[in-house]
Amino acid sequence: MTPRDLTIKWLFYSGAALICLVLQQLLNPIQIWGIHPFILPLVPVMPAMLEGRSESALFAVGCGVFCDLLFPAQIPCLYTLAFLAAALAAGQLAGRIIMPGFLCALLSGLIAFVCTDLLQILAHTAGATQFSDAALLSGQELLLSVPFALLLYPLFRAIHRRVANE
Amino acid sequence: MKKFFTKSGIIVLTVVTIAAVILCIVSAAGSGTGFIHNALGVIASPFRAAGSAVSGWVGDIAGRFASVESLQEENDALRQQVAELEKELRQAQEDSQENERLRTLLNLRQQREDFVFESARVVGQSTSNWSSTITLSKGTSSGIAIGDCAVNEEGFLVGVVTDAGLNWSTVTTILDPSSQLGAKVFRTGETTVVQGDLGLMNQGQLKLAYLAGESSVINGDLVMTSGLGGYYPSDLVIGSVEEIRTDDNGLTKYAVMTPKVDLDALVQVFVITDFTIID
Repeated sequence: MTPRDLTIKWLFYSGAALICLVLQQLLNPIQIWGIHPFILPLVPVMPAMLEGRSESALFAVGCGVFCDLLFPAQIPCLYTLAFLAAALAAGQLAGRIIMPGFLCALLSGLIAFVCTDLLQILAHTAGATQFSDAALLSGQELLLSVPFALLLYPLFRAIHRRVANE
Repeated sequence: MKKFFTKSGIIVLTVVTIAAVILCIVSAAGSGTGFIHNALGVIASPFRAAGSAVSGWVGDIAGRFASVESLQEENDALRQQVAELEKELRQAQEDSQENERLRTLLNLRQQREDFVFESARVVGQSTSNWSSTITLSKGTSSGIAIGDCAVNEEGFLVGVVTDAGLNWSTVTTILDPSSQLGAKVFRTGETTVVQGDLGLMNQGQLKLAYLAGESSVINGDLVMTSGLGGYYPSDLVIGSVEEIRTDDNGLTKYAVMTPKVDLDALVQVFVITDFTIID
């Protein structure tokens, strides 16, 4: 694959990530248990699952920096760290344990939320927040958000098939 | 026969012409409608009517074809006019709502003349479930700075500016777990701390913490900012007490509060950029 093809491929993945950002804005008003689905952690794990290369890690770092700048959390680089860890884990999962597919997308989504919410729990419980409150919120967010991996997977798979394999 | 017509024809034509002229003169000179004129009119009447009907019909069709184009043009113009009017109506409704908010704010401004307000639109709500923030349309170029309090038009506290750029700023709402403010209970004057709580945030509530064991705070008590330390203005309404609970240590109590401001319905907020510190 030439550098030009590589750039085009990751530009398409970035475009898909922007679509997810728009979708997130649409999902924000939809509240169940007082929270809304949070799909952004799913974005870096999808290409990592399909590509399984070092560029996926770089893409995850890019997504993380973007989120850290837009939605500051308790820890300054929370999303960067979480997304990188999730992308590396999802790459390993798809490369060694399970073939990329809907099940793999669900499991990768689960990994993404475990990584992100673990850091969130650590950051919050270091303050006045009780662990039980943080764990409950994490569980609710995971239940509401991980199923969206089934919706995002076809989008990223379409890019992978049409662009990445050309 | 041919000769007869050649010779007599001229005579006949002359006679008929003279007779016709005489008839015309007689008819014109006579008062009222002459018999001949009348008779001719009667005979011609149905033909006139038929001709008129036919010409009317033809004119109608031609006119209809001609008017389709002008109607289409008129329709387009009207559609454009309707769109413009709808746009103006929407703008008028928005202006009307803003006007109402500003009128309410005017009451607050009269009560607290020391406040300097900067109005800003809410352009975004927090995306993360772990925090509660809003993004405003104005920033440091409008005099907004980190640490400024944001209120709604009724003067109910929304939160504190925690991040400010040139033309944007982020307000961390009173519900956010990192939020912490000096507060006092309006009825008793008891001073304490209002803080956000992760467990209560998603239910739209917050915590009135560190209440003494003998605290007389009851349900429905109004809680306001204390203004102690001069960091935040005093007497900004935060919310009311919903429930009193005992802390896990069993020694202190805390109250669950509902904020007065409806954070989900916020469209515009007013940032207090300056105020007089009251000791």
